[in-house]
Amino acid sequence: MNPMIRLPPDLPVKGACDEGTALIHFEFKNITKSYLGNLPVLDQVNFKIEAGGFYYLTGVSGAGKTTVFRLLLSIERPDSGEIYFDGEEISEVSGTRQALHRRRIGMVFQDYRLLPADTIEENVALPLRVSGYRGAALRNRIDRQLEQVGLVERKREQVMGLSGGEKQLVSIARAMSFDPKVFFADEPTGNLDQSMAFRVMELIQGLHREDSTVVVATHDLDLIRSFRAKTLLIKDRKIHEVRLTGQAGIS
Amino acid sequence: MYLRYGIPRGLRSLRTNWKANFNTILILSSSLSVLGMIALLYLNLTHFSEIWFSNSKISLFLDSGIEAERRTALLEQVRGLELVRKAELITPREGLKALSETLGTNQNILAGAGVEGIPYTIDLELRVGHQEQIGGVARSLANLPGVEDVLYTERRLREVRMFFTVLQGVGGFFIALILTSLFLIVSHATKLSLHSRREEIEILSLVGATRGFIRSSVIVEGLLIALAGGLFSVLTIWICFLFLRAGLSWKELTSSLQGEAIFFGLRDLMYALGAASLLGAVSSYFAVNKLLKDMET
Repeated sequence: MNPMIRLPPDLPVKGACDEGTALIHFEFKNITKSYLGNLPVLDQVNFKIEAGGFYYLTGVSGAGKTTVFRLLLSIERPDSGEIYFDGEEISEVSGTRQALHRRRIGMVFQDYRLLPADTIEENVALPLRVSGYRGAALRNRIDRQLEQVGLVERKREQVMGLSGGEKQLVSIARAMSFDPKVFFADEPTGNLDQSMAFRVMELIQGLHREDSTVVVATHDLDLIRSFRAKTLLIKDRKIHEVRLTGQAGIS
Repeated sequence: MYLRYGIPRGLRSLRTNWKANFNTILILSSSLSVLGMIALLYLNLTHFSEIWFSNSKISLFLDSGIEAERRTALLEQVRGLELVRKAELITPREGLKALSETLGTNQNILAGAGVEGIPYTIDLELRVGHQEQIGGVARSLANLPGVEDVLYTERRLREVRMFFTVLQGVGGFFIALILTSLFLIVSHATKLSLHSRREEIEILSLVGATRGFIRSSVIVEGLLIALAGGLFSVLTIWICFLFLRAGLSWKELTSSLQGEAIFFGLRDLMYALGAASLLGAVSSYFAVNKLLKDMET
């Protein structure tokens, strides 16, 4: 797999997403974000994510892919600009509104963010408990999600004993468990071998077929070629919509 | 909903992070034991002083040659006073006998002494709680007709009273100091214990848990840790108390106090354990709130 994106010097970029008739899930308006007074990672960024779309967010390491996710999840606040989710401004939300905002988003992390001492089912149950699921409804949901990722028979195993790929499957099951309309995956295949990476991507593509909006951050061009979708490239602190061309390039 | 998640999660976290939690319980238990021992010593000193005060007497020496009727009338008059718990007339013969018993092995100095010259005496004790008025009572009794002299332990009382005033001040200062350090120790111990749960709290926050939801399990854990620390300290203080009480019998001077030493009452212990649990819950609340604020910014 190619970990780096090679950009030809005369790259013709399209600029920010065009206005369309589709419903907009997320919108960044003039977003600037920097860390500890350094140069901004994102500078006056504008882009939209349409409802039901499948997007790749790509760029070199450190380009700001994770920052975009952290802003969308309201883990970080922008220095300036506004972020909208279904028309609601979310860049400054805190407390209960922040918690409720996060319950609308299924998130998969490169480092899984699972509780290693807990069992598979306890990890999947976490967002469901937070949303108020209990008893049979909770158990049915857990079993349904674990069946989809093929881990239902092992649901009482501790997460710490699983392989990286299996952990990522648990992470996906957890993110899918409450049927989110938006699904973010930050380098979901970054630590996986090729066959497991493809299995994970098939699962994520399955989510898109179920009408969810999916955004996958990756710098893996092979992955982008294999599972075609709109590609957003972070370059020079801006976000551009691009198309892959040939074996090595992007246009 | 919060407690439905918080209680089992808090219990599980206690098991999972048992090493960190055991250290926290030890720290808590040591601090609470020191505080408890100071309180127990203070309680016993106060108790012993009450016993000592209640044993203090006023002796009224009556005029020589006072008539039997006047002696009886005086006795009734003294018994009728509101502050007097007990009063009895001591004949010269009984007085001599009591004196020789007090002298013990030195009673040979009384050899050949008769009852002549020894006056009739009225010994009286004040009601519990009124011992500090002994001086005033004694002075007013000295003015009664038929009373030649009065003897009471005023100077000793004044000294003991002063000692307890100083003790109250010093004890209060130390208790306040220890309570402050205890709160800081518990807060730091809770923060340390919380550090091991930071990842879990971050994940909970990422999947949309509200602050109340996250706090519930942390507060339950803090409360249980503090309760366990409190129980351990009660056990420690109880063992120390048994040793100290046994130690009182080694010295002739203190052996009489052995049976009088007291431990905290059940209600006091319940209050103390409740306060310890509250302390754990409150410090957990502040610690988790700070962590959540840090995470939010």
